[in-house]
Amino acid sequence: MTPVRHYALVCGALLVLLLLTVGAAYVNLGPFNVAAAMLISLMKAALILLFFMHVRQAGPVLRLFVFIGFFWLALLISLSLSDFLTRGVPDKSTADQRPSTSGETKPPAP
Amino acid sequence: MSHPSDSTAPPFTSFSQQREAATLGMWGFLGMEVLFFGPMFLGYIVFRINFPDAFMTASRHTLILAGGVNTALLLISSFTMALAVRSANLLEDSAKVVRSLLVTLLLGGAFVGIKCFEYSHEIHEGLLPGASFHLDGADPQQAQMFFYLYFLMTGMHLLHVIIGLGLIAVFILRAKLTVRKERFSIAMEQLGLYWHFVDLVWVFLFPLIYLGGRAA
Repeated sequence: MTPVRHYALVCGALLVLLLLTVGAAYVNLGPFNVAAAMLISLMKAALILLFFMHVRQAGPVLRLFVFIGFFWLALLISLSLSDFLTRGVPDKSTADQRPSTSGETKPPAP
Repeated sequence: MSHPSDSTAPPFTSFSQQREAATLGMWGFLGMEVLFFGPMFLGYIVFRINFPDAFMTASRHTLILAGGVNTALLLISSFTMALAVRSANLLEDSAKVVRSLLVTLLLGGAFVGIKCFEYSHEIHEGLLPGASFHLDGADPQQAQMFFYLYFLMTGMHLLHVIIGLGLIAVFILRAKLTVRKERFSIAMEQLGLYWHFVDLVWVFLFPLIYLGGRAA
């Protein structure tokens, strides 16, 4: 059985990563801001999965189930983005033409 | 000490077998949950790529302190849930399990309270998508998309937290009443997985919703 101390250490690490991600958000890293935030989130997720959700102690069949769950998500996002990232903006031209409630954007002249 | 009635449920021949089957089933359910939240995250990614400026401006209008405190509350509640699962697995005195679950319940309840405060603040500020939506400095259609996704994703997450709190309340009663501690510990393991999963979703929601555009 995992000692309480291990869970406390994981919890402490998660809180440190939380402070780190908030701090990093206020430093202008350009496009790397979101990359840093996602990297820290992945680290937090790994800690939660491995220690709190006991994937570290799991057998091979259970690990396969855990892997497949996130594998479908990776397929969903990567295959969808293979369209959205290559075909250009799907909705921008129509969004700009829609009548605005505050009147900030004007419909183009006919 | 194991109670005489604390035997495995049919068709299982041992507790370890029953535990493995239950946990496998739970992960099957969590895999579906990943795909329940997944498309909303995909929608967020696509619209953020298309409307970067509006998303950053809108992001700055979320309450980062409330979001940060809520993240800490959920992370700590995962810790106390892990302690409750551990106590149950060790077949410790039910008072220990109940105590850890009560703390988890309080932390989760505080999360719900803070989230409701945020919602009321945002509705008051006119950030709820609809006819009365207004936000300075961003295309209103694009900013509304951010706040639509914000209310949808945090709302679905909040629903999961509230369901989790209901389950925790039921498990507090179960812990007090049950004599079948070994069987109960198998169920506790699944409650823990559910609660940690809800935490996991928030770990990705928090930076996407609250941290965008803070450096600019």
